Amino acid sequence: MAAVTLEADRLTKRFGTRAAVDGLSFAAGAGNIIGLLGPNGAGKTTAIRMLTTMLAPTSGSFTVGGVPHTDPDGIRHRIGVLPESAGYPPRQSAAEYLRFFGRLYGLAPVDAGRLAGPLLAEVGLASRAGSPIGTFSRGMRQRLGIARALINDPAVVFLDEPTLGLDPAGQRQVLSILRDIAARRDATVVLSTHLLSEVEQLCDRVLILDHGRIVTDGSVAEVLSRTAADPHRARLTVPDGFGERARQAAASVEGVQAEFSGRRSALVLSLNGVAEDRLLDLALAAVLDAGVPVLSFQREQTRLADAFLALTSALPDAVVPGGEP
Amino acid sequence: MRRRCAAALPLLAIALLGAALLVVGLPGSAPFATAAPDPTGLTAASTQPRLSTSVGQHLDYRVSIVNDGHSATGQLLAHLNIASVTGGTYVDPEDWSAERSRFLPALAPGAAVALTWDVQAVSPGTFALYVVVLPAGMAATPDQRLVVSTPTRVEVAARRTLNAGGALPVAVAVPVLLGLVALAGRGRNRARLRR
Amino acid sequence: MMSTAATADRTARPALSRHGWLVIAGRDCRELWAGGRGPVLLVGYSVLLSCVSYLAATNQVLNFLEQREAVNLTLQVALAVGVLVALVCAADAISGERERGTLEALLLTPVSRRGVVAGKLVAALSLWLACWAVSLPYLWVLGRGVAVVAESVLLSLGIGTATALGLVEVGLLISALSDSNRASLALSVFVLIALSAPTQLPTGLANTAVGGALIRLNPVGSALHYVSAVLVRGRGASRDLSYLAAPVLTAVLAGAVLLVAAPRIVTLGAGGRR
Repeated sequence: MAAVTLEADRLTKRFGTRAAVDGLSFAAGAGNIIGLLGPNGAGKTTAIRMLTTMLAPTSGSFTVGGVPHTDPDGIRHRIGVLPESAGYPPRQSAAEYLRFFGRLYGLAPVDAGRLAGPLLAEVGLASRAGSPIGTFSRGMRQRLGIARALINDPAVVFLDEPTLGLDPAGQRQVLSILRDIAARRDATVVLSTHLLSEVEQLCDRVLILDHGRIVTDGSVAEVLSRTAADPHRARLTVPDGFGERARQAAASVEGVQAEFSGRRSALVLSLNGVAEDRLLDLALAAVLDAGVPVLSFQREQTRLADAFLALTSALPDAVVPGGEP
Repeated sequence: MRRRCAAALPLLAIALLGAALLVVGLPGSAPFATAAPDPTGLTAASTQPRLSTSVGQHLDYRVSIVNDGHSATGQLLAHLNIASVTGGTYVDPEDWSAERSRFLPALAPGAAVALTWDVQAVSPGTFALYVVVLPAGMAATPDQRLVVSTPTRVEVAARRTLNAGGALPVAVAVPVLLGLVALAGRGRNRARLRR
Repeated sequence: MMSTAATADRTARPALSRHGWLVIAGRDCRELWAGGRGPVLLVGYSVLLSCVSYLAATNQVLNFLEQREAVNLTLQVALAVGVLVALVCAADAISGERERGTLEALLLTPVSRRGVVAGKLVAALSLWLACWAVSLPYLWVLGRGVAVVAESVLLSLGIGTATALGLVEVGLLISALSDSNRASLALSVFVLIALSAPTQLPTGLANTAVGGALIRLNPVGSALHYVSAVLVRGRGASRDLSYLAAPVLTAVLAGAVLLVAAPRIVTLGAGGRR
């Protein structure tokens, strides 16, 4: 791992008797992108607020760039944050907004002014530098928020649900910017999100939180391998009226179980205690031999969504675009 | 010697009578100088024989009430009054002072109390300000006499009132100017947002 | 890495962030004045003063009013309403940012909480100073010729600023401790109305020990009383100085509470709850 920039040690936050975050420990290096995943109320935002000095921990400690949590001013110089549901002054222009924050970080007015242009270019807003923020779309505002989070060239950037409410193009744009931040600036990026696909695409490490505790921690591949205990399955779709004939044909293969999935034209084929994927191919061949036209046949693999559901006890409220959670 | 004294007595009587007539007969001067002493020894007097002011001005009217008698008084009520001494001027004392009656505690022999009224001169002219002291519970001592202070002569000069004509241009111009500035700012903001 | 412009170094701690309060004051003043809210409030304020001053100058029922009284009447309205406007601005300062979602970004910068409060205090006071400036032509037109213009201008500036400072600090405390911006505004207006109520006491009650104490303890009532005593009754500036204790003490005490409590109460949740 690269030089450690962020280290939490048994970080705990209690509100009364309830532990919002309970013994959070992890370390991250420069250039890492860490995904914080968990259902609502898992403690993601509380964890980020502690790590960004907005909340004092009940116990435990953390350091950012070697600065201990007991020096919040020092930490605030080294972090950039895009909070969840950040607001923006509608009448200020994007450049004025960044100049203002640059000055709050101690830059002279001229330097703060010079910094605004390149930062806006970095997030694709150079052409709108003089426009009032009130005229920006949500995606543009999020990108402006990211530019603001970079104004002090932070060692660690925290983003709380940065793509929430964005259209797919906006999401892709934001994720691409985050990838650049980690690669070009060598900054640690901590990303809290509901979107599992984002973590799969972007993060080289994932922390799944549930009830304030880390339930798993590792690379996406590691997390998947720990939870890949389900039998392999396939989904089969046939025209209406062919469902029953397809089910009988598939079930005729020993070791294969075939069941309707909602409609009588959609089937789920699963292996009945036999870990041999080729049986699914044999079942498909049997269906075709029975003269059933096959509309689609798709093998299922364990995804992060499955791991997420397996690891968290809560009902799933995560959003997995293009698939079932 | 006895005959000389007897001859002098009528002269003394005439002199005293003449002096009394002189005191009573002189208009203006005597009533503004002293007040008749109360048999109980209670006196009220102002240390300000004359006051001058102009319409609208406030002045402090001070009166001292002293118990020179040998016995304590009951609770007292001091009541301020005002009268026009030139006539022809309507006087409503309530306009001149908002709180004319003051209740006083019982005064021990030799005790004194100083009272001050805030009086606003409402009309031009010459006025007499005076205070009447009476027992707070009249029914308890129905035979007790009122005590009246020495009056104070107040000369109130006329004064020009406000010039409404001067206020109008400012009253109109200031909001209009500020409104134009606010509109210009709003227009600039809208233009910025449209860009 | 950024190389095109100066950036705040990852390891060094820039020294200028201690002037953050000035940067915040500048931003808030620009938003207040260039954003249009300040000018609109001033227009309303000037319309009110125009009505009061014109009525004072023309009303036949008040015709016996001496010029000093007319100046005093206008000055009292100017002071009370000017302070109210500044108080309302202060009441919106922290709870408003919290509600608009802009406070968190501000608190994430290295500027201290005290710096944030100081910047907002300056912006709210700028509204009072603008109100005072607007009142000047009215005081001049009513007071010229009786040598009270300079006196009334100085009185309103000195006493009005002390009173406004105290109430703006109270407004900021309310704003930091309120759950919502609406609650903060409502509570602040209630405070000012409650403070103005003793000025309406009947004369008899005002002259009692309780009435006198109520006026002396009340920063707004005692400031207005002092102005009247000096301007109308012609009392020397030093005679009723004790009446200035309430506005001055309010400014000092509320300022001290803000200074001590700001790090704990200027937070994402009301009063440091989050």
